[in-house]
Amino acid sequence: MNIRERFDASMQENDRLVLKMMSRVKTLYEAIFDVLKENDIKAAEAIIDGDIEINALEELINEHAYIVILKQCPVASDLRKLVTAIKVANELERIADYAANIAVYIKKTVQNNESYRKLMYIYRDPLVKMLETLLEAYHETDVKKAFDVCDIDNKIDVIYEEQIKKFISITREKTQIVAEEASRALLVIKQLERAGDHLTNIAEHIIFLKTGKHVTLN
Amino acid sequence: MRKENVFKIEKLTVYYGASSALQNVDIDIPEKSITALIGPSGCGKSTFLRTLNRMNDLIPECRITGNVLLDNENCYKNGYDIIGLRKRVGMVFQKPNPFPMTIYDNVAYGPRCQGVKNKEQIKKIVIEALEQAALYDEVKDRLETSALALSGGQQQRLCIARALAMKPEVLLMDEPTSALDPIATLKIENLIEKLKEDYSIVIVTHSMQQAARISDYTAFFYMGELIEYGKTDQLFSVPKHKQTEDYITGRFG
Repeated sequence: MNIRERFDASMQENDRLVLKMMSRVKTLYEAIFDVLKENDIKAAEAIIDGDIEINALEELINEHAYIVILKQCPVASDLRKLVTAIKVANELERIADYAANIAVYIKKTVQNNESYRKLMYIYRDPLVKMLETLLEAYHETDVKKAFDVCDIDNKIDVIYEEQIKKFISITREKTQIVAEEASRALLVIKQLERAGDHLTNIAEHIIFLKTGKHVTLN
Repeated sequence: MRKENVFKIEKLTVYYGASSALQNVDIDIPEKSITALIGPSGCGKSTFLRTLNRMNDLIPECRITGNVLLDNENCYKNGYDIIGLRKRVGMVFQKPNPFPMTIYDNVAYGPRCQGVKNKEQIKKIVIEALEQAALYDEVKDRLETSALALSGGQQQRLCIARALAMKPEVLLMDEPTSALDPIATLKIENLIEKLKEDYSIVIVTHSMQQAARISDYTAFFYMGELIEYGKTDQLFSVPKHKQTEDYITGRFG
């Protein structure tokens, strides 16, 4: 017999909102990489709108969790779930900001930047895979999947280190214009690398949700 | 600093007639801490509390096995001084139960029974106990009026003062706030937290929030068994047993 129906419904709503926000961020990242691939300035505008919607979802999750804590005095796994939701929403909001920053970069860059965009596109599969895995990890409270996310981030870090070296050599050899382009592209790559870090933070929060222990994975 | 244990309970089983109300309970009660006992009605938590000062002796059908060690001495051994035990282990009940006498006499009753004759000494004990129970300022001008005229919360603090007047080491509390309004409840909780500096407190409560708010350790009983016992912060954040989780999150039944 379920004796806390209203409470359970609130907890389900919490999960629904978190998964919705995560899934929106995943869609946003798939879109931003389409933009990078095609250099589609018009589509970049939609990314910025998408970020605004994600900001609103963060507020909604925070407000909802706050009210449930206030009214239901949750403990144990319920409390961990609500605290985790607030933290995850905060990370997702930041991750979405990075996508919006990249969209702004695309809009500002008029030169032919194809070679750079190719370098950026390398991040697509690992980042989207991280988001997919996190969706499952959160849904199933699966610690193993949370650790898988961390493994992907380690790969991203290796790619990032290599690319940084490449960019530094470009800025040394070429003309001032090229150096400027490379610097801008470098900023984008930095955003993608940071997105990976924040996705790993989400993995850490999921491990807390399951075990009650705070871990540091990156 | 690690605290000493005031009580050490080993393999405690309590029978009422042929059926057992508690089975094989092992638990250490740390000194100068608040230990909360939680669990659904009939789980054995009050029975457990009552074994600590042998209140169950008053129930003819009640029989116990195992050891209840107070300062390493078994309270149930033959010839154990039960009156002395109840002096060392005071008790406060669910419903405030002041004697139908003045406020002063309620608190003086215990010391007088113990043979304290010196009026000045009794007065000192009474004032000290009322102060410790955070009641003195409210009643100092009417110590000679009936205790029954006090509010419920004041009556309960008077009962705490009455217990403290015996200078106990341990204070047992059986749902001490369940008959009180929220403000009186918070006053008692605040008082209990202060008292743990000098006393070891064991409290039975049906309010999980109360256990979480005030206790250092929590024991969860279910159907006569001690399911889980540990630091309150840990038990309410990451309980080890599913039954504990189900109970504290209200998903029992």
